[in-house]
Amino acid sequence: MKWPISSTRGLAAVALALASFIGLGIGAASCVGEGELETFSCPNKDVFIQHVSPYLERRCGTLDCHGQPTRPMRLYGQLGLRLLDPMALNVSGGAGTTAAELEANYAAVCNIDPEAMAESAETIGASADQLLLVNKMRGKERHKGGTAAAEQSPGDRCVLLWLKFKTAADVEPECTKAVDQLK
Amino acid sequence: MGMKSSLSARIMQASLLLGVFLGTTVVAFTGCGVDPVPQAIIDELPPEEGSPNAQHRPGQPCLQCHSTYGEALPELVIGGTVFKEDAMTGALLPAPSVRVEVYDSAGDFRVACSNAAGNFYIAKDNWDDITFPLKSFVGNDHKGKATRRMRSIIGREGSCANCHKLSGKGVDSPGVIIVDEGEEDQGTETCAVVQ
Repeated sequence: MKWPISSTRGLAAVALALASFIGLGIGAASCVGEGELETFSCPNKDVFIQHVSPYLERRCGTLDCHGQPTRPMRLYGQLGLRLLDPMALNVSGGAGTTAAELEANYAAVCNIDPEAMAESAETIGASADQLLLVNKMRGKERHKGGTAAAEQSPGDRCVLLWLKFKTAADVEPECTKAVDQLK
Repeated sequence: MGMKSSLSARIMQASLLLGVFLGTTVVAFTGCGVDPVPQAIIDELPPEEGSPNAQHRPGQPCLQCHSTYGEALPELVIGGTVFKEDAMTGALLPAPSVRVEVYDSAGDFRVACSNAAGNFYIAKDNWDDITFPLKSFVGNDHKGKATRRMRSIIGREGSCANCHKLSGKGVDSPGVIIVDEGEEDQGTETCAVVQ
């Protein structure tokens, strides 16, 4: 059977398009799960875990806000969303926040705007008050939850002092004050 | 030439049809004002039993429908259900006459009482300027204090059942709100009188 030239060209074009899509699919799939995870820059992890995360868990990580699996900057915690862990079988309101959940919170907060966070970390927090995290928290940028912590409030200072690489001795009192207000 | 023209014509026709289809779809959906997120939750709710009233759908997320989007009246700012457990079977039973206190971030508060189905609510026209986050307390120790305090704040959700799920405790739910016998208002206390 003879194909008209235009149909042959058409078929060739379709075949080429299909091949391109298949190639693109294979190429994209090969990127997933290969290589190592990227590292990120962020202020002190211990200070975050001990003092900042407990505040963020209570203020931001409720089940109706950042304690939802679908939210960006997802936060886990004792009183909110629990990390799926078949060994722990934790439920919301149950056992205390686990080490894995604290790690996840650190990664979530540090990577909400990773490049800006890295830049801020490189300058020891000089540009911390320009971060998306801070602007959202202060309600300066559109945030569905509104102003989570007004500027210079204990919650705001808790996060800012951590972002400015202050020591646990400086960060702890503000975070404690902020948590107490939420109890 | 004839074949080429016919192919072009077909492509034109197909494009036109596709355009009309997409245009109609967009107009249809925006015209209905369907928001897929709340609509999906509403669609998954079980069918109504009887006619809608203050005692209907205990344990379900009230504000999915009693909201600007859902258009059910009254529009609510807070709505939920209080249960007690059957001592023998552990089955959930409605807990009527239970006092629910809600405090907002502006220092204002309201008291709601659970009805015969355990349902309680605060209508929007009773608290139009409610300021989230909220703190809440449930029950009455009959010495002037609530028996239970919600340990977390309410960030911005008015439907208690969105977190206090009927499906029970889990990674994303502390389970339903449960009180014990004796925590309800009694005698001349507010919620006993309301009943």
